[in-house]
Amino acid sequence: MRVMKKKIWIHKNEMIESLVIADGSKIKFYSHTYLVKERSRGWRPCVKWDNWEGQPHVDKFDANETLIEQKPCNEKGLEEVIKLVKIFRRNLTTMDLSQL
Amino acid sequence: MYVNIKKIKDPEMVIEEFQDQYGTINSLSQRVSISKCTTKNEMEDLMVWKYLRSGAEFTEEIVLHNSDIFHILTPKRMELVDYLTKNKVTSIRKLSEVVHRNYKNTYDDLLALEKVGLVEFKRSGKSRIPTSFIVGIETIFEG
Repeated sequence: MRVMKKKIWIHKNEMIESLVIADGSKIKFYSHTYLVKERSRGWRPCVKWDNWEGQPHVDKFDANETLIEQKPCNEKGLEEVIKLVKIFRRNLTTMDLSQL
Repeated sequence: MYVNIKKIKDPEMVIEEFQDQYGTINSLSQRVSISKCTTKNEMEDLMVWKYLRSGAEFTEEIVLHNSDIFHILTPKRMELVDYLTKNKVTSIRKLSEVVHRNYKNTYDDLLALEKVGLVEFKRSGKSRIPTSFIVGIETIFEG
């Protein structure tokens, strides 16, 4: 069993934090979060994909880090999340979650 | 091009950090169920704690997709990282003494390294103890 944490800098003020827990090649849990650095407040989560309790979904947070929207989605691997983040960047925060 | 920094942490140490922060795994579990898993860090820490307790390995990676890292990795700073990966120090002052540098410059360099995760600080009373868990830094050129 392995617990793997990754921080992927997309830009100076944008990054993805990823947590994957795997048993061999089987992924038990994942959580990939797109974070943006605010000048006065440090890093804040904007959009998060995870499979808490085996239910893959995507969450959107407001500027106060409060969950404002949640939608079920397909399982997301880190590579797919990196691709989405690189394409949409900060626009992710205004997008319709069902498209993610 | 990207730079991949690999760290390996002793699971026992990670569990101790959770104990300092949350008390017991049950109290963290309650906090997560009350917040309905809306708090990112608590939910992730609970999962990490649960699996480390049952013997999982713990690895951490930092991936930088731009060349900013080369501004951060100056020879003097790399010397600090290199020293910290091989030795334990009890304070920033002790570290500055063994690398023959003044305290202020050592402290400033450690803060710059902390920002990208190359160095971590552990609190011990009033002092901050710098440590590094880096086992490798790779530069990858994508074709």
